[in-house]
Amino acid sequence: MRPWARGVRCCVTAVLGLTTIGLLGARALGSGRQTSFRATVDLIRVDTTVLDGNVPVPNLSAREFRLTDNGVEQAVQAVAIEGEPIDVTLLVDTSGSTAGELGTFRTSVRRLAGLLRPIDRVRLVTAASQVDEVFGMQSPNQPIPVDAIRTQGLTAINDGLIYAFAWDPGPDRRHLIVAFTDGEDNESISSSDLILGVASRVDAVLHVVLSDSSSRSDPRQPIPLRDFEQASRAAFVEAAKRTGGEIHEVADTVKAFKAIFEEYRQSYTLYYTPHGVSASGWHDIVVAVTTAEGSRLTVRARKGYVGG
Amino acid sequence: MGSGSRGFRCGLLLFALVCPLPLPASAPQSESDRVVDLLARYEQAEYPTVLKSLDAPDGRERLRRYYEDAASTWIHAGGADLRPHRTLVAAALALDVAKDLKTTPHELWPGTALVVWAATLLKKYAPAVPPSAERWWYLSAIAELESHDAWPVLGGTTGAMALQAGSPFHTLADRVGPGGLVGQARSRLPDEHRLALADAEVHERLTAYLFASFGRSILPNDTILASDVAAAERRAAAKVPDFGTATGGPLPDATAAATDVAAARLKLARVALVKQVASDFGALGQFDDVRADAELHFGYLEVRLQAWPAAAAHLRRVADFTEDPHLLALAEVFLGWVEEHSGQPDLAMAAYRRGLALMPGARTPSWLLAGQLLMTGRADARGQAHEVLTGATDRPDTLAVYYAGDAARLPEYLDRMRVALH
Repeated sequence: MRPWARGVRCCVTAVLGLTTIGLLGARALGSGRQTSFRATVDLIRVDTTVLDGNVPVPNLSAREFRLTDNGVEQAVQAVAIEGEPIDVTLLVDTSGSTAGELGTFRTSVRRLAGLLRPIDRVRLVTAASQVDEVFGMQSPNQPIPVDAIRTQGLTAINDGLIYAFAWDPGPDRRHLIVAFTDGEDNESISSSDLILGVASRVDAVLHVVLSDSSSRSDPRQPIPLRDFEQASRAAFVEAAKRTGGEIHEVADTVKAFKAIFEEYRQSYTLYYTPHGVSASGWHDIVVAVTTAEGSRLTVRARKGYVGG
Repeated sequence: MGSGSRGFRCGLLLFALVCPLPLPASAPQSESDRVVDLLARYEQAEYPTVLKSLDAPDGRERLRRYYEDAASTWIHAGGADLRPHRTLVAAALALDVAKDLKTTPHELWPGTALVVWAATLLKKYAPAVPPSAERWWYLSAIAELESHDAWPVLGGTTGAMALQAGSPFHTLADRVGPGGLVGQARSRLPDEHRLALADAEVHERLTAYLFASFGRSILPNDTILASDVAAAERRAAAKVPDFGTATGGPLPDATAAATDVAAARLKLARVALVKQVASDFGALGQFDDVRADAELHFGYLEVRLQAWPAAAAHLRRVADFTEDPHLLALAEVFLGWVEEHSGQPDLAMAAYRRGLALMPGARTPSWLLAGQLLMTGRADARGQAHEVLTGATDRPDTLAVYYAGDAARLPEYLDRMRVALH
C-alpha cells in the first residue's frame, strides 16, 4: 500500500513536466531559485492556514515555515498560494433534525456559489437517510438546481463525508469541503472511527458549520443528545481538525462560508520531501511560522498522514 | 338430434366441468359483492384478473373493510364439504389483499389484522392433513408479517417473546394464541425446517440493536460488546433510591431510576437470549434445506459478538449450501466486515466487491468498500472509491432486510401458494 504521498508525487511529477507544476504562484523555494523535483521523490502536500486573529496572513515564504514530521524538521521546498483553483464540496445535512434550516439554505446555495471565482468549481452533496449528489462539480457560473434539495428523516452525515472525501480534484486543484450539519449521525454505514481514519489520509480540508439541533427544535425543551449522536458529533469535530479545518458555530451560513472560503483561498500549500523518518506508519505533522510575530499567529494544518 | 350434435353437447358439458368458464365481468353491486366476486374468481384460478383488480387505485384499501364479513359468508355458503378449501382460498386472497396495503404514519400495518383473521380461520377449519397450499400459505403469511416487523404476532407473547413487552401488536398477537403464527404453523407442519428457521429468526430479532442506534445500518449498530453488557449489569444491579412520593405517585427521579433499572434488566435478558438463538441456528445447521440460512445467521451472531474467526468459519460455509444471491451477498458483506476488523483490509475489500457484484449498487457494500479504499491512502484507490459511490443506487439495501426473515421471498411464496391452491 502506498500513501497519498505517492499520489501527490505522481501528480506533481506529471505537472512539473508542464513547468507550472501545479504550484501556481509557487515562490520562495528555500534557496530562492526554481526548484527542480526528481521523479523519485515522495512529496507531501500540507494545506496550511495562517491567521492573525481572524485575518489571513499573506506573503510568507517557505523559509518562514518550520515543519516537523514525527519531530524531525523538514525543508519546505515550495509554497503555493492564492492562484490555485479550488474545488468546493458543499455537504449539507438535510435530515429531519435540520429541516428547519433547509429553506434558508436552499436560498443561500446560489449566494455561496456566487462567492467563488470563475476558476473554482462547486458541487452539492446532501446527506439524510441516504446520500445524494444534487449537482456534480461545476463552474459557479452555471445554474444551481436548488429545487432538487430535499429533506429526509435520518442522518447519514458520516456517509456523506466519505462521499465528499472520495473526490479527486486532480493535480492542479485543491479540495475544500464545507459541511453544514449538527453532526449527529444516526444512519450511516461509515463509523466514526472510519471517518477519523480517512480524515487523516486525505489532503482535502474539511470545515464544519455546526448547528445545534437541540436548541433549534425548541429552546425551552432541548432534546438531549443520545450517546451515539454525541460521539458522532465529537468525531465530526475531530475529523475537521485532522484535515486542518475548523468548526464554525454560527447561524449565518453564507457569512460562515464566505469567511471559510476567503481563509482557505489565502492559505498556503507547503510541499516537502520527508527525510530522517521511517516511511511507514503514522506521521505527525506540526507546522509553525518562524517570523517575529509567529508565536502569536494561529497556524492550522493537517495533523499528519499515513506512510506506506 | 344427430350423434354429432349429441357428441358436441357432451363435449361441451365435459369441458365446462373440467375447465370452469370465466365469470362474467359485470361490476359487483357493493364492496361485499366485490369480495365474493373476487373470491369466486380466485377459486377458479383467475389470478391475473383478481390481482389486476386489487392493484387498481385504492383497490385493496376499499376491499379490506368488508373482506372478513363477506369472505366468512362466502365460506359458509359453500357447505361443510367445501369449507376447508374455501377457507384456504379466502385466507390466500387475504394475503394478496394485505400485501400492498399502505401504512400511514403512527399506524400498524393494516394487513396484520387480515392475516390474523385468516390464521384464526385456518386453525378452525383446516383439513386434517395440511395440503400443499396450506404450507405455502404459512410461509407467505410469515414472510408478510416479517416484512412489517409484526414480531409478537409471529412469535406470540409468552416465554422469551414476553421480552417484547408493550408492542402495539400485542392485541392482535393474543388473537393468534400463545405460540404466535409461527407456533401455529409448526404445529400443523412439524417437519418444515423453514418454520423452525422462522422461529429462530423471530427470537434473533428480539436481540437486535441492543446497545446502539435505531438506524437501519445493521453492521455498525448491532455489536454486543462485553463492556456494554458489563455496564448494563451494573445498572441492573443498582438499587432504586427512595425519593419519597409526591401527591399521587412517585417523584419523577424515582420513576426514571426505576425505569433505567428495568430497561437494563430487559436488555440483559435479551443478551441471554443470544446463546439460545445461536444454539437454535446450530441445530438447524444439520438440515440441508436451511443450512445456508442457519450458517449465515450463526455467523452474524458471532460478528455481533466480535468472535471473528468463528464468524468467518460460518460465513464461508454459506456458499457451500446455496446459490441464492441474497444469502450469498449477505455472507460476503458480513465476511468483509470480519476481515476488516481482523486487520485484513485487502481481504475485506475483496469480500465487499464480491457482495457488490451480487447486489450491484447496494448501499452498504458500496460505502464499506469505499471506506476501505480511502483508508489505503492511495490516490488511485480514491478514484475507485468515487466510482463505487457514484454507482450506488437508492434501492432498498439487501442488508436492511436481514432481520426481515423471508420477506424477500414473499413474491415467490405467493406464486407457489396460488399454484398449489389450484
